[in-house]
Amino acid sequence: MVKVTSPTTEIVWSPDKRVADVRYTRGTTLRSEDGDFLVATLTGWIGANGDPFAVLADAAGLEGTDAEYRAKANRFFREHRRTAFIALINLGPVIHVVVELFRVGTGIQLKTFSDDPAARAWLRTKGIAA
Amino acid sequence: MSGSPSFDDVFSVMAAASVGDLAARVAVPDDPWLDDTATKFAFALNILMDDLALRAAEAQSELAERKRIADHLRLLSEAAHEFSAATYDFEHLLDVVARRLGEGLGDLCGIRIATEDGEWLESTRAIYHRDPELLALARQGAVAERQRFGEGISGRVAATGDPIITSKASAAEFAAAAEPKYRPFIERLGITTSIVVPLRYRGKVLGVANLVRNSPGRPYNDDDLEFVRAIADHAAVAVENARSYAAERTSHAAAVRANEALHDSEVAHRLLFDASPLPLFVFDVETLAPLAVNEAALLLYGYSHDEFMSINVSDLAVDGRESAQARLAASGEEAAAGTSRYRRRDGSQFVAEYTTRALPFAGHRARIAVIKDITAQLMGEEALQRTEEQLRQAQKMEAVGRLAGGVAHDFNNVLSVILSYGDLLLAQMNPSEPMREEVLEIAKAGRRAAALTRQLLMFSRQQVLAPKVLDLNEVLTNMDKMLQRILGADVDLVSRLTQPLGSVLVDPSHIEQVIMNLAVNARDAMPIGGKLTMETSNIVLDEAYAHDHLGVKPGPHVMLAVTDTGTGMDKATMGRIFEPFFTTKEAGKGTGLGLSTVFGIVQQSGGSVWVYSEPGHGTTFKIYLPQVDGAVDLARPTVAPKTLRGSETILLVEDDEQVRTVARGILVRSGYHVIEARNAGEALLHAEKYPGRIHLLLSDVVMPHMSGPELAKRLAQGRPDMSVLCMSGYTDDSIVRHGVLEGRIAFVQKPITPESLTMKVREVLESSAVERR
Repeated sequence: MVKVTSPTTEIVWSPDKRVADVRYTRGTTLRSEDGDFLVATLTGWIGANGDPFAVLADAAGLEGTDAEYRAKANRFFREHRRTAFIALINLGPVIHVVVELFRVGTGIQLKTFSDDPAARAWLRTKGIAA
Repeated sequence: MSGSPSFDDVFSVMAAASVGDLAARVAVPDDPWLDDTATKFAFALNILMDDLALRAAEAQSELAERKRIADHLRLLSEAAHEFSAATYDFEHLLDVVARRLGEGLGDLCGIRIATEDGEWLESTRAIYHRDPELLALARQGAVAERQRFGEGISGRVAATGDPIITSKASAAEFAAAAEPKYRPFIERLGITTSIVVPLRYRGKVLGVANLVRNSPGRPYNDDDLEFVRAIADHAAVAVENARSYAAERTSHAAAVRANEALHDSEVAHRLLFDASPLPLFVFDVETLAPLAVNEAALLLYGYSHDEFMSINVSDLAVDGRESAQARLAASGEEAAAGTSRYRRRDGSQFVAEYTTRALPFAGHRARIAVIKDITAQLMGEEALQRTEEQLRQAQKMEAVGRLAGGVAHDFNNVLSVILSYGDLLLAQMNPSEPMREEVLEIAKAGRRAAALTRQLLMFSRQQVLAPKVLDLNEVLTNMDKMLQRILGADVDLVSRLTQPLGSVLVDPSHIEQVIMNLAVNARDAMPIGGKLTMETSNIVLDEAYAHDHLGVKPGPHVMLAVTDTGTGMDKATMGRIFEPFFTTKEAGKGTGLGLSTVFGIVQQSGGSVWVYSEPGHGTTFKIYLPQVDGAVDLARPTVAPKTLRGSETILLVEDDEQVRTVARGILVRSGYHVIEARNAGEALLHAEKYPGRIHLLLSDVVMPHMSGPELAKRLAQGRPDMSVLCMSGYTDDSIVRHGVLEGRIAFVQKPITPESLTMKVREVLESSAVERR
């Protein structure tokens, strides 16, 4: 496992499983630089072979996203929508709307869950050894 | 906290967005539960509006970036265009680069240029700031010193080729980081940020551009750097081109100057070549084709320039191409010299000294030839040799003549005694006297000796002449019969006499002797017969002829040419024929004095004689006698004295005792009174003491201390009626000086005989008696 941390975000990458576990500092609103951090980190890990990978994000403490973050995140996941699987847990209502807009807008395989085991179970159904 | 939004609120935001207000949002609770649809839509709309606003902002930013790029490209294009236009002026180009960078990125730009060795940066006057006052300030603050590569910011940029951006929060901070020498300038202008970029072309740093910004605003960033580098790259190309052009122009100017110098040099050499008085030409060594020729050579060879350039050098040489090439081959590579015979265009030839020297000429292996016509020099040398030969001959003849003259003088005194006593003895002997025959033989031998002596005197030009103005045609005509007798039947005598012929002043008997001697010689040269041509003509000998022929005076002459068709002579013989006693005839057949006599008589007559002969082709003698004015002297019959005896008183002066004695005897026997003196002094003394009349002074000419004619002159003062008769064995200057030859003084030739002396004495006495009457 590899873990990287920014002021707002912690990402733990399990190379063998190709799963990135993401957590946020409480009260965080994700902004442009957080988008850069996420994109740069994931890009370095997933490689260029087009192998499937998953992002399991615990949105607890996440209060919002600004437009620049969303633009960067959207751009990255649109590029990997066939190989990326995103499972989200602990979403508040605002983040939920954002996520829904994101899911519908990008067509990416994204699903929200109430807890971690449910999320991992779904990922396993997608071939990810979460 | 607001209440839940309605769909009207949502619609209002959408309506605002539709007219461009992307800042409109639906007011939603801070912590919405999104449990009603309107709130949910309102919340989603707000997210959408956020994203739209971002997109709009991004688009705006992109548009601005595009505009910036477009502006940069435009500036770059304009800059490149302007750089290109300024390429021909290096200094101006640097000004343009500084201005373009200053205008493009502001505010101040200065250019430094690397030295040729790539070790130093040198400041230039290329500094730009849009504000003239600040520009002036910047110029004052610019440090005009060299900066070594690697030192300071500019030096590091120059050394590494990498640009450096420096930005500080304030001018003071910026100055603090800068080198001390720049600090006052930085603080005064308020500089906070700078870019230093290299002007690099194909990896070589040509210089650096220093940009500083003093106006408030953002510091230089990467975009600025990108732009500056782009401009700098174009500028570097232009700088390199300008340098190359300047170098090329310098090189070209140098080449032009060199060409001009070369041209001037070529013109100068061409002028020297053309104006040289020495004939010069240049020719190809391989083909012998002329490559250049000067006026003097054209004049010498007689060709026009075009004609000369179309011939082959071998055409100039009489011995042709092979010989010319052989000479060249033998001459080696550098210089050669020699003498050769050349041919002019008209076929005439001349001898010249040539000097040739290897000379690369217009891509040819060539040689320059210097030709010096030495024909005249050779002719002059030949003429000089001829003259020297003539001089030697003349000197030889003179020496022989003096010898002969001296001998003859003594001989004549001796012969005077022999002949006189012989005649006196014979006069006293009876025809039956037994000794008479012996005495006759003595007298006969004496006369033969006298004849030889006379010929020697003739040769030595010391014979006393009695010249007269003559027409040579008359002389030849009168001698015609006699000559035919001498020549004999086998020799034809042809006369070609020019009429009228000029007169000459010669002794008639002597010129007859000359003609006779030549005729005899010609006859002897034609043992089996032939033709003898006597030819006369008037001819003017010019200065050139006189110059080439020793002793000849220019002017009108009468030429007598005597030509035979005989055996002729070789040069060795011709060189000696006038020598006395030289003869080609067998012993006993010639005295060897014939031509010597001719030579002496002609010379003494003021003329010259020349001989032309070749073995087997006969001989021509040409005698030139000066023409004289005046009527031909008519031959006057001489009146023989009625008697050879007399009773007058004669003062006899003779230093030779034997001659004096015999002369006294002759005169006494003939009835005269004789006062005898051994020299002039005695004669003067006797004349002073003798109280009676002295009718005649009979004196030798050449005597010690005082000559005969001088004595006569002295005596004439006291005895003006005294006649004078001189006697001499030969003539010399004293005789000439005293007018003997002109006939003013009577003269009797030694050797004297009783007959010749008494006859002359009587003749003189009677002549003076007639004059007195």
